[in-house]
Amino acid sequence: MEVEFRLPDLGEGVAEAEIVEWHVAVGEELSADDPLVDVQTDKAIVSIPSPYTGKVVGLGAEEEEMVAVGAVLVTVETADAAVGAAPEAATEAVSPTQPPPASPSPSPAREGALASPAIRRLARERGIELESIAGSGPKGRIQESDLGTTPAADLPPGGPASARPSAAPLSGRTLPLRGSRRLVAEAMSEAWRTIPHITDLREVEVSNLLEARRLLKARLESRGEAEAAQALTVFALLATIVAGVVSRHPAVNATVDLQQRQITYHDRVDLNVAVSTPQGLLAPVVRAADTLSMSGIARELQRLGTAARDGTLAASDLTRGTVTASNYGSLGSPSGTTIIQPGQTAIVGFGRAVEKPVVRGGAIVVGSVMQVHCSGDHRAMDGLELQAFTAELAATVENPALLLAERD
Amino acid sequence: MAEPADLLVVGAGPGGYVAAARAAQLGREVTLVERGGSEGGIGGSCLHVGCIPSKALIELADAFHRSTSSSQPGLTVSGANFDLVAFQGWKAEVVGTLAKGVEGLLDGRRVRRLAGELRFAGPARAVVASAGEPARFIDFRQVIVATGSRPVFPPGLQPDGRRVLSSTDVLALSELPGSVAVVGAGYIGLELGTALAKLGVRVTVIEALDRILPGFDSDLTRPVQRRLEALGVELRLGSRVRAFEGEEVLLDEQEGEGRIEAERLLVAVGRRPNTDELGLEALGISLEPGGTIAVDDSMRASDTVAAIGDVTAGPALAHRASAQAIVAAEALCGLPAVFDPLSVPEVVFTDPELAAVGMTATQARAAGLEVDELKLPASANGRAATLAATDGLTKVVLERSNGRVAGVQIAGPHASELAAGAGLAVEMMATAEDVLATIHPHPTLSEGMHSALEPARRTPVG
Repeated sequence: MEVEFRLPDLGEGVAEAEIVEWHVAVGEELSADDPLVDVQTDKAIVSIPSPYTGKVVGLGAEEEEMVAVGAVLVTVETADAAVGAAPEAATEAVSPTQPPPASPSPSPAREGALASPAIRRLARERGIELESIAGSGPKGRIQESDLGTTPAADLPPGGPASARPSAAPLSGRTLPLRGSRRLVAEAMSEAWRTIPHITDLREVEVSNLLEARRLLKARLESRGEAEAAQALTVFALLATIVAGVVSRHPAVNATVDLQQRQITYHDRVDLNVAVSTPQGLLAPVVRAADTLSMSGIARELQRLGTAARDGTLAASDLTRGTVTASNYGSLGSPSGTTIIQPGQTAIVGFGRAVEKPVVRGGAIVVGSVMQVHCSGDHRAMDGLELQAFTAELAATVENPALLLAERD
Repeated sequence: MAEPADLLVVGAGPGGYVAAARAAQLGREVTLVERGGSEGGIGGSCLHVGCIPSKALIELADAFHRSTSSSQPGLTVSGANFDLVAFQGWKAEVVGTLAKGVEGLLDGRRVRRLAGELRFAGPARAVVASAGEPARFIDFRQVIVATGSRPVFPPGLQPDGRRVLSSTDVLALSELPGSVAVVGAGYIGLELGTALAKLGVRVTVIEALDRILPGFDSDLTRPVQRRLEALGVELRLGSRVRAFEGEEVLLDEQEGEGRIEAERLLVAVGRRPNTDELGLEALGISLEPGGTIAVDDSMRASDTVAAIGDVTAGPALAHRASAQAIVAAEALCGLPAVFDPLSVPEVVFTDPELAAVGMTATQARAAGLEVDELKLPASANGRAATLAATDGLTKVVLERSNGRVAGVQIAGPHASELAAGAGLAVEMMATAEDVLATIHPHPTLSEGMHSALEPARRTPVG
């Protein structure tokens, strides 16, 4: 008999996913747990294995298409006359408490996406395939804003005008913007359009921090906790400091909603950490980082980093946190700038520590200097608040002993 | 010596004149050639011997019929009469005024107009011949072929203007025969047959197929057929004319031979594209079976040749030609224009009128869409009741996945006027909710589509 396997609920409010790659084709035999398809959700590429053994008789979507949760992914001809209830999906991301809806909601980006004739014409003029666009209007209706901001090649408004040739195609390679590249592009465009950034850049002498880490690591090693010692990276210390300082500065741990004219101050710190992976930039979240111990944060960072690079992050690891830290220094850069994620009001970036002359006790000595770069959302704070936050952060990074003051 | 032409447009019908005006608006120097004659002129067959004069005749016939029959309850008119000589004078005025309007548009856009028969003499050269004048050679850079179509007549049924008539002949009558046999139950035959019947002519319709108006769903054509029968029109379906002798039409019918009496024969069995006498082979353009010119979605047959309207495959409709004209003019000006409407409306001025926009349910399903079809009888519409015209229905085709209106078909009074609103819904990809949220004025026929969608109103899920 033929059975349909629908896109399972991937949890955390994911309503649709983009088909990144099919691992099967119509006519092929497959066994249960064979890799079926890779889909891209909000931030993760999730690999979905086949729940069935049989022959593929139909695929529900092409690669690059968006598929709604509950829509048919694949139809399989199975040998058994009776098949049990559709197995729960196969990734840890799937929430078993939320069965797929009985009738799939239409996926917006498909043939026949809703669009008025004027929009269809505009898309044609801009060389955009409407099928590749997820409309932002009701039922996925495609609006002019969904076509990007390229100005329309307007026709001359009557009168004498010479006919122009059609726009020359761009030279070079043109590829569809897809997967995590598209998601990053969309999120960052929105952030850049809507968030007025203010920044505070400080140079911090981190010899004490490096010394603290060396001591803590040696202590763990002497106790035979090699794994914990390995997890205790410099960034683990920095993330611990960020979580603590952020919790005392409500303005950098908030969400601004201009439409509702309100600002929400979060009561815990969910810290997104930027991780570079073969699939692109990901920002998994360390939940309630302000309540975790340093070793707890270190363990969580290690788990997230490994999972991100292996492509095994769960959707729940990838939800938006309340604030973000980027360790771009680990890629080599001593200095950089950052963009706040939509829905947050601050991001902290740490550069690579470099040896530099510093003045200590009236003498010039060689120190380890790190740039700490904080960006704040000017809608949520003024320079005063950003400076207060950055100053405390920089001071604590420079002298981790200040963490003791928190226990005072 | 040849004259240069930047953009040449051949034919000044609803395709050609619109293309010429648009190209001129885009800054092109346009030369428009029209041969004129009894079947055309500026405005084409549509204006001179088609859409416009036939609607004038249909209006006259309907007004007369309402005055003299019981079709308008409560109305009795004594001494109602019509004067076809006066009608022809008025019709000529209407056509003349509209033609002047087109000429004014073309002059205002500085389109150069030439009268004469055009033939292509090379890939970029044409000859225009006009009686009593030397031939002119034109070297053109680009050309739009918009020469339209003409009626076809089966062997032995060539119109002679006396006993065997074309639609053009009927529209020019100043005196009515007592009886007419109409050959062809397509829209031209039925529109004119209905008008003649309403003017008191005894009408028989002979059709080779076993149904009328084969392009329309049969639930839409049934009210038309009932009305024809009520008007006393005899339908001979599955029947072919073998001969027309004296006042007798001999028929080959399924049950054998048949014969009917008719003073005149009106032959309206179809049209063929005017592509056979243009010398298109000189352009290197080949014709499709049926004589149409193959074009891409920008209406181009080659880099320098575009073709629009009845010379391309598809329904021979003025508004299709005009829409393609805009595309062709823009495409030849280098703009990214494509002819890809969701709806080319079809309207038939029978009684009741028919209108179809977008896809029928059958077409949608054949295209692989899952659709629902919602129907509302005209008897459920208040305005139709006050018009004493309740035989009809409205059908709305909804795409199931997104709820959009994929098509609308209407049989009912003034259906032709309802096509634009329905077409807007289809082209805008309005959903059922969009239409339902649009307040339709009461009491109007336009409520038909709105009411038909009522069952699609979303109800909260408990």
